[in-house]
Amino acid sequence: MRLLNKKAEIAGEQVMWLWSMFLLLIAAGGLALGVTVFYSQEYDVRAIEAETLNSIITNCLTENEVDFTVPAKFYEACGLEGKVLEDYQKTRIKIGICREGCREGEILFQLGSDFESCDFIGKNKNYPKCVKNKIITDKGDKIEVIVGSNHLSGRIYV
Amino acid sequence: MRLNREGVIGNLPDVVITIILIVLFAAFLFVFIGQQRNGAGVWEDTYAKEIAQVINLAEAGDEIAIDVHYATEIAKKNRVGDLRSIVRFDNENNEVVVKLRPRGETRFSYFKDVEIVNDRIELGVPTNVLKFRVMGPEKGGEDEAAE
Repeated sequence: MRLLNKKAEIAGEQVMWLWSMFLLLIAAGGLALGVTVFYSQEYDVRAIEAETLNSIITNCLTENEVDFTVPAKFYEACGLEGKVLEDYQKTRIKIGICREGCREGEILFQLGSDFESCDFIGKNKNYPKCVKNKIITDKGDKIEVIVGSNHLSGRIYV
Repeated sequence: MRLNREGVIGNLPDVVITIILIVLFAAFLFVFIGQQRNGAGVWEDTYAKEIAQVINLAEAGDEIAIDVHYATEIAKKNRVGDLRSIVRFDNENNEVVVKLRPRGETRFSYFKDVEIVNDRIELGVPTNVLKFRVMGPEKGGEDEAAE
């Protein structure tokens, strides 16, 4: 009987030791995962990028007579690189003449779609960061420029 | 009494193993968190994006100097061979390429239609500084032809 108790005691100690090691492993794993998730967040410059692009376009429209019929001419007039901007996942641009509080009007230039998501600020971090700006041309037209950026960097592991 | 002493001596290796394992876990966590904090990936991302923003706001003809001392420190810590090549410019794809680790790099594109020429990292002036010149696409071509 005494021998049996001793065996049970040793088995119990072993089980408890394994259990405490398991708990330690779980705690360490959880902490490591949390730290990894925290530091894997990208440095977000989408709002700044949208602001910069919007100001370049509005300045360009104010200073130049821009031909919107051919996108390449618009890019050239405003000093923009078309092949970078035409990655629709990253950038979207909409330039239109504003009528009826910008609810109606003619679209002069559009790159990309889903400008509705620009209105859902703070709802989902995956939505693009957008900047809207309005200018009045010499002809008296009110032009609205909407720029959205969802530009994230590409990390390459070799 | 004898049995008890045997019991204590018998448990001693287990206690030592447990302490060693706890110390190992703690050391692993300290090293891991330290590595993540000074992680090359995070700083590559930050430098690539900031440099791209500078280019987006630059005008053709601008000469730009950016302090990249901390980036060179990280690259040195990660044993990147040539500190002068941690920042490159891919004019073909309009991308800034930052490499602060031996395996891998981070790329970020700029939308301004410019060419980056004469880019170099000057070490110890007194800090490490990235210098480059922003040129319009045509001017860049003329500049290269002139050279």
